[in-house]
Amino acid sequence: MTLELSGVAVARGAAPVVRDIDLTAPPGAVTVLLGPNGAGKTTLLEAVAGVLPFAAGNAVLDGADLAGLDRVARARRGLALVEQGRTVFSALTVAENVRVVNGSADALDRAVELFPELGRRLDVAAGLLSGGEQQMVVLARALATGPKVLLIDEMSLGLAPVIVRRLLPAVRALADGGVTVLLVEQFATLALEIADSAHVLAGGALTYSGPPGPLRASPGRLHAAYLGETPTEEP
Amino acid sequence: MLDGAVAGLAGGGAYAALGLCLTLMFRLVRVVNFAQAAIGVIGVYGMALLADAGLPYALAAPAGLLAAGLVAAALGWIMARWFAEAGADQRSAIAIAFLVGLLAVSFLAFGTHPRRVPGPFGGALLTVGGVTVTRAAAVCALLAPALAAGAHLLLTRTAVGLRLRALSERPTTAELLGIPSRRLAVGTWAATGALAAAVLMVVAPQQSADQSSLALMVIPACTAALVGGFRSLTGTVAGGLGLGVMQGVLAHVEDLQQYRDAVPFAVILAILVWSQRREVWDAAR
Repeated sequence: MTLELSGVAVARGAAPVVRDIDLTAPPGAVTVLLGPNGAGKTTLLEAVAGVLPFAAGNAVLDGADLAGLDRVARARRGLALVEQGRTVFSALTVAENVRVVNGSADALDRAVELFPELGRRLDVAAGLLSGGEQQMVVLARALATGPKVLLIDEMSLGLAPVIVRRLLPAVRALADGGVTVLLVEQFATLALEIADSAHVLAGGALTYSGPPGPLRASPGRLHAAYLGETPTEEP
Repeated sequence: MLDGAVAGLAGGGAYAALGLCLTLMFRLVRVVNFAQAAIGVIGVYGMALLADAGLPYALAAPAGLLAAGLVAAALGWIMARWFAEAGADQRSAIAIAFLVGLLAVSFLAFGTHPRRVPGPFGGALLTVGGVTVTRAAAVCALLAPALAAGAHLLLTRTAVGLRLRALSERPTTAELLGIPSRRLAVGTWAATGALAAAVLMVVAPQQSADQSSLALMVIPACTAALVGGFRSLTGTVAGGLGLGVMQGVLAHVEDLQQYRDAVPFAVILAILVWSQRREVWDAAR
């Protein structure tokens, strides 16, 4: 499913956070959203998932406007938000974290297939796992909802780069399986390695939208976009 | 004194069962539902009204349970609709408003005079060594452990229970995964409301059945829930039964019987002081 954002603005209370966001995330692709802290990336994802209301603009999922749908209805349309901060249900076991959204044995099998290391820990309370394992559970749980669109918010937060290198290929594999992925990530270089398209958000507005190649090739461009400057073509 | 302890089991079982409702409500929908027993009063008095009008008990009792469940569902819907993001303290304060409102509605609907409440559990069940066990005492004493076991099985062995546990830990995350939080919350309110009515239907025929007294059974029920830390089902049952037995024994000690109603408050105070000891000690250091 294609996720299209047009003229989106979101506020927290009276304070505007993001504005004029036009963004398309096509199916089977990883769309990366980068930007400095406080740029509004999390706010934008939360608004798309229905946690926050849009102040302006709209989000369309495969031609259907999401306006008026609460977060449960959006989830049932196939939109899954992987929140920041390893949001496992800590008192539930690994298997229960998956079963809570999908009771079929198939869902658990797919989770273990994606992250074989979870196979040995299915009966362990998720709160007792390492940070990396918890993030695997969160991703596996989101996958168990059968998402059409996966919004992933800073899944690397607090994790070692070696763990992030383990998780990002799994995200790429999900996209290759047809899922639309919109990935917010602080490890910009690693995220760009798996991206099909990239956007940079700074000061609440997009300062770069395009292929990831130029950002990968020129850190200067990326830095300029982070600082809110619209990158210019290099000679 | 043993007679008193056995008699206290009836009240203790009711405290424990209502305490279980409070514990489940706190764990699952983050509210200390001070209106829990008042919701039950609506069911009991509704049942009594229908029975007085000639409806057989077998029909009046389910109708009363249904009425309590519907009232609780309505209150749960209000809470889920407008106070979903509020903290447990704010939601509990709103529950006090529900308690006051329900008592007012109950007085308007059923009058201010105590009503005779029919019940199927009157009379003695057995007498052992001179100690008489009433049917109501036996039912109440068995009801609470049965409820605790049922709730435990529901939460650990069913898909609904799994979802409720997820919802209680991370409501926003649960919703983002498509778990219908509002429907589950309203269902929890309705189920515990009907349970509260069922408990009061057992105890009301055995004691003074005025609406205020029944509604304020939430205080000893809170004591029972507090013994279990508003988390442990077993602790809540033990707390409720222990409190009832303690009150029953005191009722048979002439010099102390006037203080029996103060026991729940004394226990609440003792638990709160005990639970705060570390903070006080740390501050003193």
